[in-house]
Amino acid sequence: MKKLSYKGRSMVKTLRVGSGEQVSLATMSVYDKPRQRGEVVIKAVVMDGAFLDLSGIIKIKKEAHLAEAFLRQKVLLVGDKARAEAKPELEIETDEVKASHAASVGRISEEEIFYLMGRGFSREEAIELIIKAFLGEEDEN
Amino acid sequence: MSKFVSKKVEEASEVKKTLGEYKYGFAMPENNVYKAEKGLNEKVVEKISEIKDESEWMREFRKKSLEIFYKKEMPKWGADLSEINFDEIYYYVKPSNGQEKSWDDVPKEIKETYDRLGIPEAEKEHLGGIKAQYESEVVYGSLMERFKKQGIVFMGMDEALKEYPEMVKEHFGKLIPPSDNKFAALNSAVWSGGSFIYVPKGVKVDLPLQAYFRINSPKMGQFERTLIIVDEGAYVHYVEGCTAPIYSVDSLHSAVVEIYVKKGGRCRYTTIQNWSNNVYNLVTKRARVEEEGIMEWIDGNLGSKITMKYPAVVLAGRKAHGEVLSIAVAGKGQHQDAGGKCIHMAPETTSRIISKSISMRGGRSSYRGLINILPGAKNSRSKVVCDALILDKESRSDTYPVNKIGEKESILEHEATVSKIGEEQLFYLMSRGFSEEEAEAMIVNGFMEEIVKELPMEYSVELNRLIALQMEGSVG
Amino acid sequence: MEISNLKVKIDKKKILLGVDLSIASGEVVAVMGPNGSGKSSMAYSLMGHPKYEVVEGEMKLDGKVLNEMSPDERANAGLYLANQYPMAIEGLGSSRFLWQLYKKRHPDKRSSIIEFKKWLALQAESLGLKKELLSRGLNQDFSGGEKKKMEILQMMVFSPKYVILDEIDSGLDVDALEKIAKTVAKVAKEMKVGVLVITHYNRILKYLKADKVVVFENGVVTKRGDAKLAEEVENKGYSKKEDE
Repeated sequence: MKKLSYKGRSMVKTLRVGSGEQVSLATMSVYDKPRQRGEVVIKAVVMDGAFLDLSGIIKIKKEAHLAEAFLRQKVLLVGDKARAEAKPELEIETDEVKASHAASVGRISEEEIFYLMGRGFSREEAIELIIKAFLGEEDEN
Repeated sequence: MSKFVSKKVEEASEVKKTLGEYKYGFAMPENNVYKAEKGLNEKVVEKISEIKDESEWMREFRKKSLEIFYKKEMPKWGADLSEINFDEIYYYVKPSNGQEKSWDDVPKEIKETYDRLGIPEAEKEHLGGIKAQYESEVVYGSLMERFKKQGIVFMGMDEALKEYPEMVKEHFGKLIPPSDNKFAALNSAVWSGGSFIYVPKGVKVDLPLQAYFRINSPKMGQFERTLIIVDEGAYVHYVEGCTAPIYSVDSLHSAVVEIYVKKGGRCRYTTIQNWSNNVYNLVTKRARVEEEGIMEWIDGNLGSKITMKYPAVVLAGRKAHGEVLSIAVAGKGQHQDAGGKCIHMAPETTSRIISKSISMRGGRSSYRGLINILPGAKNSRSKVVCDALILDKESRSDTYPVNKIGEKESILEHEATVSKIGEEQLFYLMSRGFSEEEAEAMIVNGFMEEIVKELPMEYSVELNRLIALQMEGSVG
Repeated sequence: MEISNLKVKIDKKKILLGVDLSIASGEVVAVMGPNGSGKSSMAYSLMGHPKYEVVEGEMKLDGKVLNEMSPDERANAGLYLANQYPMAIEGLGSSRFLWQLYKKRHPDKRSSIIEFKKWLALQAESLGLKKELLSRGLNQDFSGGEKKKMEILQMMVFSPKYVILDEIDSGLDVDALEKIAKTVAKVAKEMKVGVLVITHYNRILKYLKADKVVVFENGVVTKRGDAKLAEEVENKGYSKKEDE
């Protein structure tokens, strides 16, 4: 099991968990002074037979008034026996904060693949295009 | 030894005569004297079984459960349970000499709350634990007639064990075995009271079944055990608990609820819990839903010192659907550790968890949830929304969700937000002439509206008022 | 309503530098000026928004000094603010909220909720506000225009003595603007309500005739006049060019 862990309030991590790989990615964001802001975005693609353990915690301590904290975990299950666990956690000890997290795990829709294949791409090429777009999504925002 | 003379339940008074005084969920035969005893051991468990005149099977089940209870460790996660002293608890008969409760013993805050909520005298005494039974015999009698005609079975768990032994044995302890967790093991050893409901194929029970319809039942027992079986295409809505605070001397409440929803059936189980602030409320609830069935847990946690409760739905058949709508309000000295679990075992299953929690005056509210989409559960979808409101600097909110997906042909979404009451929103309402307290209460009620509107009318009205009172600080 | 030498700070920044203004019952006073001139700040200061700190000067309503009063106390004195950016309160049913508001403002009136709802439906219709919106949460997912109409509907339930319209015209189409302006004009005339209309443009004043016009620039009043002043400002513009 490959273990990755990051500490920080703001970061963007994209990750491909290749065939048969087992990866755990943990992020920890601590807010301990007033007016801190942060956003953590994790995007991962999980291939055949691979497993991703994604945990992310946002800890907002008593002193961290007016914190604004966000965590987004997006996982795309591509492979047949792909598995993922997403555990976004929040621990908030004061009231003047804005904190939110979102986790979504989904799949590539057949319609999207069909659409691209209809433009002349092979199935593998189509899937690769969709994966690239998913991982590179932040550019659109 | 008292025996059930009548198998028919339409004559409520007849049954009452036979049972004698029905205290604490089971009969007290007149010609025997039982000494109150603290603590838990095999003798106590055997005594409970003996008093109830149970079959060999149940007695053995209790004893085995006790062994499991001793072996199991306390959970290493969740709220702080270190102060529970199992030896200081009465597991069946309580001492009554000179310790009869009087209205004077009921804490002042609770009495005041009853006044503010406009609760009628008779009900006040019942809620305060003074009277063990709410006089609903007349209602009860005619209802039971109607149900009997439809083949609906609704009775206390103790009775059901005697009246429907085969059906009970087939389901009891199968969904939540004693080995499930330490408190399920405890309940399995010392359980008493609770409801048994069976709804036949295609029958839709047209009014919500309330726990207090059962004759001779206290508002909520210490170790209740409930079993509900909804047959194919049937429907039932069961309601337990109440919004007004219930004063309980018992400090440990550990209930178990098992529900089976067969193909195309639907069950809604609504609980509003508002135990006094000395209570540890540790509950295990699980439903198993077959093809195209629906299970809805509506869970309101207002009281108790510590609550740990995660209603679960096992979606075992294609297109089964499960929902957990949970409200938790944690005030001073309280920790509500609640949430829900949905396990997708079949294709095209769907689940939804909505959790709304409020922490105020140093209270702590935690959401703990699990969504598990197993391989094979193709085209399943799950959505979890947890919103938390923290009202002041002393309070705390946590979210601990676990989302497991093992099936790529499925979708899971989880969102959580934590916020306080917005200054702009407060100003807006105050500028319309509402005081700061009124404005806060309106915003908080709006926050919970999505779930509160699913509650039976009387509950939702009381709930809104109760929360407004808690925010004022007049309720402990 | 009288404002004398009002000096206000927000986030330690001086935003109003000594404003003098008065509105009589039944009088319509238009306040115009570029963005950042302090118009909305004055509206919020009058209503007692916590972010606005009054450092000097006085605000009076019917002789009562507002300075130390909380927003709800000012509302109870009869002041109503139609917000530029009305808040949405999730889960607080609009219809239910309006009924609560009605009961609070008119404790002596004996209408039943059914009568109230009928009356409400008529008012909503006259404003062009769709009936379905009344069953939604207050301003929840309302468009900008719908929110403005809801502010006016609330005003009608509230029955104020003095109304501040904070840029009610922004984001409204011509029809809606006409309906709202005419409604306010009628209320002002019939119920002798003093109206403070804060606006960038002349449009609304076509239907809501101003008795006085006042121009704000950089936190003070720079020009005073009658309705003709509004036209002048419209034609000549303000000194600064602003983006909407």
